[in-house]
Amino acid sequence: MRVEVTGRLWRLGDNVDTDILFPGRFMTLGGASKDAALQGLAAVDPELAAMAPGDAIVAGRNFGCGSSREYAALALRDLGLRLIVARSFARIFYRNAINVGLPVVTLDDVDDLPDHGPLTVRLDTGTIVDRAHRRVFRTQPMPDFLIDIISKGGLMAHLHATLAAEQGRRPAEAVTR
Amino acid sequence: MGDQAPGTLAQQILGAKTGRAVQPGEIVEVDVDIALTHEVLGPLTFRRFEELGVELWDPDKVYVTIDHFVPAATAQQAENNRVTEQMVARHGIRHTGFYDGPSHQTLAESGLVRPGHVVVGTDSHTCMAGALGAFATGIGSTEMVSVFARGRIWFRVPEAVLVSVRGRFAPGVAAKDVVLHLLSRLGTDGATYRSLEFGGPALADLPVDERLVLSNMAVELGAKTGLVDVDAATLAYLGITDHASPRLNPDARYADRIDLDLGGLEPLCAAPHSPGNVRPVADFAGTVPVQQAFIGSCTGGRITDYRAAAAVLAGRRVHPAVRLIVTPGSRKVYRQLVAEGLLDTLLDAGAIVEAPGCGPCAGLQAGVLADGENAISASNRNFQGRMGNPKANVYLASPATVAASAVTGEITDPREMLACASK
Repeated sequence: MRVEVTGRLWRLGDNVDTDILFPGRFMTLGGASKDAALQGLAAVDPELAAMAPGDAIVAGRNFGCGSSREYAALALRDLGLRLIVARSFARIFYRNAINVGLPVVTLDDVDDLPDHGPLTVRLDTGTIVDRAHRRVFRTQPMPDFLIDIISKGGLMAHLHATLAAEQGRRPAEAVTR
Repeated sequence: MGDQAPGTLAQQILGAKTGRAVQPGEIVEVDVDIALTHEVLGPLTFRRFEELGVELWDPDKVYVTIDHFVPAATAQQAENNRVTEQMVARHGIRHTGFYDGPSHQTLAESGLVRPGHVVVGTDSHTCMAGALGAFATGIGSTEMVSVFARGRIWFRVPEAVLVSVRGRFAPGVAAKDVVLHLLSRLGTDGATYRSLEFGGPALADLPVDERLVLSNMAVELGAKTGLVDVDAATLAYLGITDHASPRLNPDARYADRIDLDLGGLEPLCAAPHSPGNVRPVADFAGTVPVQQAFIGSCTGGRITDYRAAAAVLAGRRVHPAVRLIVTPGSRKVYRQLVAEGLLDTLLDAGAIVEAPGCGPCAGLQAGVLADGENAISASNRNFQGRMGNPKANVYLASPATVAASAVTGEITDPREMLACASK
């Protein structure tokens, strides 16, 4: 699977937590929106409020640590971010990002990435290509079953497909509703 | 598992679920025994689940609480609570904890958890059930939709870290200080993707209430789960006499081992804005005034926590510039506070006692901080904005340290006061 970053690469440090990515006070059915993420990030650095579709985040260690709130990953996806690259991810955020179809890549030498796209990322081979500077970054390929979830747009779409396949094998009365 | 020696607790539990021996790094799919959600992330989860048009895989394995918006502070919170109650009724869910206290505490008290269970919840502190011998971890809403539909979830079998405890706490030191010590040693990503497993000779002296703290904050170290070895105290807590539980094998292949003498620990405190920013409480002496002190949450709201706080607060008054907020960890804890006379001790000292629930821990209501204020809290996180205001500061410490600081109005080592009391 191929991911194109066309815009800016926003640099963040270590331990970016879920209270920054999505402050708790916005976590209601009526109050949740992608703008909540911008408010949390802007409290750390007002410039981050300018994040736009096509951009990416480049972070240090333990990105997304803290809460299980999927809103944190969802808001970044809904802001149009194409990719999060980090030295490491907190595990719940990592799964949440994949489950909402937001590509995540672990890379050690994040400091060598450029400040602006275009970047072409291939999750299956674990390569990030910076054509402008003729550089290729190599990282761990993502397992196929996770790429499958991201490429379908997230776990919901994947689940629809899985359940349809399972229903084909189950008696009809088990799936009424 | 044939004639192989038992692996780590995580391997044993996931292996039993998979029906064969499993190795770290393997991806396995396992049946879920308990799926927990609450009013913050539950309504979103249920709405997405209903898009699938299938039945809940097993309503008796779902546990739903209203514990954060308790009682609701805004119309939007109230709506989440209402939708939660509707969803529970609509899907035939019987196991609930509405306005009873933080879900992890009420689940632990419910008797639903068994050693060897796989427990998942849409809350990162779901890992607390690890103190009861369950492989327990937090997941996101969409992942829970999948569990609701299929009753299964994938895991990468984690490497494990063995934390072996020995010795006895000095007065004024508690399980919270163990976790803060581990955070100072390993950092907030020191156990990422790993299973943190607690055993050793001192475990027998540690009540289940205190073990729950160790598991609860495993996620602050990045761990997937925090398992505690099962013994007679665990079974007594669960109200069962016999259970074929996986037992910790100290000779299993642990990726890392930490040997900890509890007698060598002192009261510790995590300064803003990271649980890993830990120093001895004594280092803060006279330097940090506090305006709010909080004893509650799934981390610091159990009866042992209030006994420790009361030992400091008895015969003393909270500093006039400090709000001491108490949210009992459950109704059961609340009743025990009354029965033991501790509620009087807390009230006499000037505490504000609120409903059992998550309280001000997550900054949702019931104790949001003003700009520039400092809070000292027995809860689990001090991220920027955690208590509802990014311009405020949160310090994390044990209930005894929080109580001592509430009395003096600045971060204070509780041993000073305990020494006075014993004279």
